[in-house]
Amino acid sequence: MPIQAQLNAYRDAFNGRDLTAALMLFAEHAVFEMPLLGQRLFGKREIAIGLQRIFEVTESAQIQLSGAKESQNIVIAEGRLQAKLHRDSHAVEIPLAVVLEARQNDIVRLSTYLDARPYRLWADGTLFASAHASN
Amino acid sequence: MVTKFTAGNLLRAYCDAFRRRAGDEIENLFAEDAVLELPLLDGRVVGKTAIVAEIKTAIRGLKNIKVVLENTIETDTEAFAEGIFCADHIGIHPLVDGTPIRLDFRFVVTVKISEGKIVRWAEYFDTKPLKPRERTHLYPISRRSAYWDGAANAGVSEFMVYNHTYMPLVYHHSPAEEYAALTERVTLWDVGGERQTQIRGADAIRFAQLLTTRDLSKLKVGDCKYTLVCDPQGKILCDPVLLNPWENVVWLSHGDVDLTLWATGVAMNSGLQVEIDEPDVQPVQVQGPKSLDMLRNLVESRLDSLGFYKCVVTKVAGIDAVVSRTGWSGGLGFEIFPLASKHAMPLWNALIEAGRPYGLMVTGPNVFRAVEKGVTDTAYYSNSGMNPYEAGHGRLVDLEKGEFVGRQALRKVAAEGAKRKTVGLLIDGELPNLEWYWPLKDQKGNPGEVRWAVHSFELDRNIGIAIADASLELGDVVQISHQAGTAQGTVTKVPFVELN
Repeated sequence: MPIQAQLNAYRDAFNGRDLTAALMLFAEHAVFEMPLLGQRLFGKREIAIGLQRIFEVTESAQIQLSGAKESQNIVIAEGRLQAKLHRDSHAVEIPLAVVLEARQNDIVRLSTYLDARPYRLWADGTLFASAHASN
Repeated sequence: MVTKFTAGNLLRAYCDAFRRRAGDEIENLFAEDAVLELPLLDGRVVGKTAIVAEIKTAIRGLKNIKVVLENTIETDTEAFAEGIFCADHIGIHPLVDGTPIRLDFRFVVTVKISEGKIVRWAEYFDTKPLKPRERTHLYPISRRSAYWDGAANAGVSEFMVYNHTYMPLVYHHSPAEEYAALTERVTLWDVGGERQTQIRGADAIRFAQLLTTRDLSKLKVGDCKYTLVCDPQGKILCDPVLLNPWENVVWLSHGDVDLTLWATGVAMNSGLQVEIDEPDVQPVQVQGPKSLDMLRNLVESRLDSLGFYKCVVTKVAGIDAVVSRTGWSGGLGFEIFPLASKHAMPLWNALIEAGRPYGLMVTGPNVFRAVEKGVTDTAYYSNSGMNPYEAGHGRLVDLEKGEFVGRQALRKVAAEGAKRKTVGLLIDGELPNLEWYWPLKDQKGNPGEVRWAVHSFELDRNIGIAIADASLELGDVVQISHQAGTAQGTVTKVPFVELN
């Protein structure tokens, strides 16, 4: 499977909350990195637990990819994650990048880069106080 | 030097220049209308000028920078890469156990170029491990300021107890970012812990003359004065800003000392017609070169004509307040005293809105800038055994104005000469956080104490203010002992940078 197709397959499985389909894409000893989980996961067993955890704590979670560059074994893509946690009253949208590394049609590493700070657990209110951002 | 203007080459040139802290080289890499997207900046920065300002601020707050790019995928106009960034913070001290506070993270960067210049630079990484995790716990034995909700909303993480009140000191910005906001834009400080000792009555000025060291005989309504309160032994109790906002009313806006109790005691047997109390007035400070622009349309009175160390009773965003052109930054700035704490948060919110176009940042009092400017503070501990002449404040003592508390003792010190004096120090090497005074010895073996020590962002080195033997001269060397070892300091003048 072309590496870009593997990325799209992972995105579709993630968005469809299809754990089985997602796990089928990974090599047995793959590495999975997602800041929301707080640690690097090794192997299908840990990845299954991690993905399951994401699906449990989120009411919805959708990855949208807007651009990608690929070489023979690696694809780097940027996009956004829209997610709503059960505990939150509203969804958030976070810029993200995904790095997918594959060998022999299996994902050996999938690293997600995003800013998990909005998901902080204490309750003093919004964190983003800087006033010089312009959108 | 970039030999061919591909996205990959510009990516590598940027990383190399950042590593070398060469901000001017980075400036040449960006197009005028470029966009920078960086999680630490809480949003997009548009335009080369704004981007370069942000990058230079970041560089000023970091040292020992390493940037490793891996898995770079590039075409002529676009480059995507993974990488590792490592750096030491400047101005953030290690944890008490010595664990350094570092800025280390893995990232993805995407770069788009057009006509040989970067038009979009986007980074993706998790800032959660890079920021303070949570504010420290509070205890109800000390007061929260009336601006608590505002400070909490701005992400406060550390406090100092000041006049029995939690005063926010550390927010979720780096010291370099806060320093840049103060020196280039405008900052808002919750200083509700600054209390006002109010002296009211027909003898208010006469009593203030008795309590403080400067001559107030020419004091007019609308005047402010930086002055001292001493004990009968001539030791400094505090260095308040005195305000005369109304006829027969004097406020002493003071540091961390129970001045109202002291003033009440002095008044009891003074025979003067005064009432002493602490009004329900909690100030904020708006400091920085854009403070006047920000406040001009929010304050009913004409602030442009309000002189340095003057105050006016006016309305701010429709709220009754006293506004003074004073503050702890050593530069342009104002203090706003809403006339009841119930107005504090409406005032705060109005200031946040008014400051938005000027890049207002909520910060604590900036000790880095204060020490550079020689603006210190006195409180119970920092006063220990120090008289005005030792503190370098002899100009604030008018021995001929008539009777005041401490006059007799200070007359003796003035006649005999102070045995110690306050000096600036250029300090070599790394320094831990100053949590108590560091002992020093000069080359003759005379003892002293370092009472302030910070990194100077303007001088890009560590500086300190010490009290030491009066014989010390410019250029003399002292040995400092601190909790992590020793350091050498060279005596210099205070302030360290020009006042304006």
